[in-house]
Amino acid sequence: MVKIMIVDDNMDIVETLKTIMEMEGHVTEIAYNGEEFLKKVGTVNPDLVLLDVMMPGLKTKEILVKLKEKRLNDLRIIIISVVRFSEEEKKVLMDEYKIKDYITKPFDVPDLVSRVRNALT
Amino acid sequence: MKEGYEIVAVNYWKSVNNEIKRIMLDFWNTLLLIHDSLDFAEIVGFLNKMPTPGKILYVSLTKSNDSMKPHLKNLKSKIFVIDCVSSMIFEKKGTQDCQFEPTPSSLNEMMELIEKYIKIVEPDLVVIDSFSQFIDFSKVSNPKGKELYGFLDHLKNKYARTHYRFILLYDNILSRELVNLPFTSVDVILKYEILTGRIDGKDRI
Repeated sequence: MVKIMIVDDNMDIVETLKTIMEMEGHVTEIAYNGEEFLKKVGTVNPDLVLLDVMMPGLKTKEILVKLKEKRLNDLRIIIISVVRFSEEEKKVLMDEYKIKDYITKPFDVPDLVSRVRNALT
Repeated sequence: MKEGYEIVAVNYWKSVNNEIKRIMLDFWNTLLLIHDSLDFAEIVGFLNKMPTPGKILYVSLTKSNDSMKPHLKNLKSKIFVIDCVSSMIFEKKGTQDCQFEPTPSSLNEMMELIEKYIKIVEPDLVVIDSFSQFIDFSKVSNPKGKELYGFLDHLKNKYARTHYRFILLYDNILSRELVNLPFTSVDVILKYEILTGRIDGKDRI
């Protein structure tokens, strides 16, 4: 069974993503900020992480660096965020931090499901 | 009305397409602009409706400076961007037209940031993109209401008799009902909708 970790401080978004992922037959685990995510990620050992970039506390960059330190930099991550980055910046994210995909909110559910499936293959 | 529901607000919306120039010429200090598009090109279109192209201080909490750049050539005004998102991931150096700052975590921090850059940039117009990062106007009771009214009152008290103008962008991309708008604390509330459709005639019978 596929384990998806949802990391977002917005409870409405978390609930939406949780419902969509569970309808897809995945098991979900939640973290509401970067610190909680880093605490849990080693034991949860998720197949995919859906990560928001704009959360209180740790910056996304710090989270990604700490994942490297924990030797978890091969973790499959999709960023889901309201923030618009340029195509070049997204490419840097994918090349440098091995982010699988970048989805901007608001997202289209069939598109999200398809991109999650892609990231899992 | 659904059982258990009661009216919490009645909003009147008026189409102002033909009056927009007059509204922009009117005297106002704070304008809340509700929009349903995160496309920066649309925001540039709106800013170009300002009667005199002055200098804009643009505080961005939703777009990186890089993502905005391609559209800036269409903007009639000079612009200085405070990019509050790029530093979450990238390390970038500021330029003559842009500085990178950490994301303010509250409206008080936002005010400090604005006041710091007002002194440096001396703009005519300050744009905050987007207010929806702090406040949710679709909730009947807002836990951050006190902070919001404190922020708006501060703008009014400190800047009402100055040439500074403030546009507070609020994206309502999920088209939620906005039941808790600050009608008495801003001078103008405008809402624009982006209508999309196919223009190649394929959807015609």
